[in-house]
Order: sequence, then structure tokens, then C-alpha cells
Amino acid sequence: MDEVKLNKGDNIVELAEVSLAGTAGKKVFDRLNFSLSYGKSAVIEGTTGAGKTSFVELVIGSKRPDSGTIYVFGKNIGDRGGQNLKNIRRRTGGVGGIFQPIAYQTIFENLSYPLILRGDGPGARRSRVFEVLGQLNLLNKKNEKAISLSRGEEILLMLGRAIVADQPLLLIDEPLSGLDSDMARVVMDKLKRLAVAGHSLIILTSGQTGVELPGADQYSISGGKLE
Amino acid sequence: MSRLFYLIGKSVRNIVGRPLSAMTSLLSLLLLFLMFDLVWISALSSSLYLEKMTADIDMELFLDDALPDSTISVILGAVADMDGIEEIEYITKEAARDKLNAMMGTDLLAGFTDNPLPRSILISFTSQYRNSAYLAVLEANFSRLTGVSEIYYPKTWLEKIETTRGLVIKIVIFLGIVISLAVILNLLHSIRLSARSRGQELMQHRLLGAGRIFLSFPYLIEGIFYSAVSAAAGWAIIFYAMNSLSFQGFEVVYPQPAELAYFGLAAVIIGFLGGYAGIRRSLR
Repeated sequence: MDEVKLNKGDNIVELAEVSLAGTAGKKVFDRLNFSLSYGKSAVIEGTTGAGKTSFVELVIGSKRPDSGTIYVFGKNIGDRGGQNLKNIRRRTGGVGGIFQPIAYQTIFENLSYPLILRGDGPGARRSRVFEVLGQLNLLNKKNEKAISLSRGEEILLMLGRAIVADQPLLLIDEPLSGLDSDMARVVMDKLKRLAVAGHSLIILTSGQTGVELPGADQYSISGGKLE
Repeated sequence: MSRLFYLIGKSVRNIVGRPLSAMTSLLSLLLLFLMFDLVWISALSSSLYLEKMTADIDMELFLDDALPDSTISVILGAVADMDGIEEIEYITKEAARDKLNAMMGTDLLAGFTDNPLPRSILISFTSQYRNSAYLAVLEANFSRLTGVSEIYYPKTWLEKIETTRGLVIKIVIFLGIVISLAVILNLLHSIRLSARSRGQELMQHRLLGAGRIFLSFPYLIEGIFYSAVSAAAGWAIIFYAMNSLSFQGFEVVYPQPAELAYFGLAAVIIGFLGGYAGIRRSLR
């Protein structure tokens, strides 16, 4: 993979003067600027419709801005006819929002895919997936279809898929939505561990209690701006 | 290599995982290919039949009675110089009378003191020159020869056969195009349904960084599989059925092995195109 080596202090995500129009010409973002250093995390809070999911879609390249530039891992996502985008996506994990488990595939199959794309052989895939399943306490459900999981298990599965190939950047959209307090605590604990381990997390939340990440930059999104 | 194995396994799972859809695709494509095979065999067989009908076509040059025998060799030489001449036969007045007697079973000229039949030159042609356009050119050339009083060949008959053969070719080409399009559309529809039923999977895999070629591969294999298997099954059925039947007075002509190999290649290409057209929209 064509990679840019990032050091502490380099920006892992950088949006410069990004504008995006939504439906009926309403501006979702108006000259939005955002940057996140490698190894750092951010929590972005905003009400429903403020543009949290659009923010994720821009960073992952499933939406293109009307103007402005987006760099992820030091690369412009629009360059090189999709090659950059493919490489960026393989190094970016996602949870919630547009990132969902594949309902009719088993947990094992869901977790294997990033490793298949990386080119890992069956043996390496198996041992890595089992390792992650063990960390998430999902080993006993490895052959169950994702559709049979509870909301909390679904979030854990997505977290597993986001880290199974050691993706350094994680985009997490409403992580605690629909979770009871116990499961919310488990999920937040996993997220904190990932942040401490050096992953860059961008957590988008509509203000649920409990979404706190020590040391993370705090932002609020409204009116097409980040503050 | 592990990615290739994954993709092959995925292709198999796509097909096996939807057995009813797979059977529907295979059977409908089989019917289309069977239709095409039968049209192809009919075209080859009728072409041979028409070819045989034109095999006896020849041209006869009737010579002027005033033409001295010594100049006949000049005319024969001029005829032999032409392209596509298979055989030349000079028919004297006596030979013409003998032929007439043999044909009619009696001497119709018994009362005549002089033989009124003209001398003639009978010309037959090699198969590739046995066509109305070339014979018309020859007719024009021979009519300019001194001593040739009349030229006969079954012009109208030949033109009708050629029109029929042209019509058969046009029908085969038309049906070939229609059936090929029907196969592509059928495959497109099958693969599109297959892709739509896995729409969420495709979207998630794209978000995880799978490229278009990687995602398309199982669907292209699926298209090629349906097309190639249906095409092969079509010929298997045709050969089995034709071996069980007998045709009297009509020779059935099958495509040559090389032509069948090209047909197989075409089926693979059609399968690829159908698969590509089917998956393209899902990857936009």
C-alpha cells in the first residue's frame, strides 16, 4: 500500500475551507476547517441534522465537498482516481452511522474482510480474528449471523472490524445510541483503551451522557461550522 | 493469492447461495442458446443444400452455323483464359443430336435432311465463381466473341437461389444479434438482482476499502459461469438429440470444432459483458 508515514503532531485528518450543500440548497458546511493530529482524538457534538454523519461521509470519501480540500493520512482523498481513497479507507475504521455489520454474514466473516483486503492468508486471518473476538468477549458467537446480535454486540462487532487490521483512524458515529448504561460503559471503556493505545478517534455524538474521552479535543458542530 | 482464493470462493458462494435464481438464469439462458444453436445448424444445412442446387449450373455458348471449324479453337482458347472455368466441352452438331435423342428417347429430327441443331460450347465453373454477378460478366465478354450467336445459363434460377441464401444469412445475423442481446440483458438482470440483494455488503465493503475490480470479480465470474454453462449445455442437448434422430434426404451440418471453440469464447465474453453491465450500477 502506498502510505505516508505520519509522526506525532502530523495531521491525520485535515479539512480546509470545506463547503457542502445539502438537499434544497441548504448548506451543511460552510468553509469548515478541522484538523486532528496523529494519535490525538476528538469528540464532535451536534444536534440531529447538524451534519455529523455528513462529516464522516466527507472524511471517508463517500461524499465529495463542493469546495475545499480534505487530506487524510496526508493524502488528498480526491487525487489519483480513487487510489488514495481506497488506501485511506483500508486504514480507517468505522462504527455506527454509515458503518454497519453485514447482516447475513457471520461475526467471523464480518471481522475477516479488512484482513482479506490486506492480503492476509486464512491462518493469519483466523488467529487475528479470534484474538479480537477474545478482546470483545464475542468468541462464543463467532458463527452467529450479525443480524442476531443485540445493539451492544453490534457496536462491539463494529469496533472489532474497525481495529482488526490495526486501522489508526476510527470514525465513531453515535456510539452509545440505543445502549443501556452497562453496555455504554463497556463500549466507552473500549474506546478509551483504543485512544490510549494511540488510535485517533473521531467520536460524533448528539450529546449523550457518558461520551467523554480524556485528552480529546472537544468540538461543537452547528450552522455549518465547527467550534 | 489468498485474495484470489477468497474471490473464487465468493463467486461459488454467490451462485450456490441463491440456487433458485441460479437455476432460473441457467434455464432461461439455455433456451436462448438452444434457439441460437438451432438457427446456426439450420443456416449451415440450408447453405449446403443451396450449394448443391447450384452445383449443376453451367453456361452454354451456341455457335453461328457460318463459323468455320478452324476458328472454334480460338473461341475455346478465349473461354479457357477466363477465371473460374472448371471444364469446357465442345459439342458438335452430331453430339447435340445424340444428346437430344438421349434426352427425349427418340430421334425428333428424323425427318430433317440437315441437322438444324447448332454447335455449342458447354462450360462448367468452380463453386466460388458460380454466382450471378460473375456469370453476367462472362456472358457480356462471350457475347462479344465473333461466332457466338446465343448464350444460355439459368440466370433467374441462380438469382433466386442467391436471394434465398442472402435472406438466410440476414435472418441468421438478425437472430444472432437479438439472441446475443437477450443473453446479455438476461445476465445483466440476474447479476443486478444478485448485486442488489447484496447491496449492503457491497456498500460496507467499499467503505472498508475494497476496489471496484475486487468487488466486481465474483459477479463477473457469476456472469461467465451462467453463460458458459448454458452454452455448453445447449450444444450437449443438440448433439444428444441429433444423434437420436435420423434425417432422410437432408444432410444436417454442424459447426466445425474451431467454430464451436469461438462460440464458447463468445459465450464467455457475453457472460463477462452481462456481468459487468449488471454490477456496474451497484458500484457507482
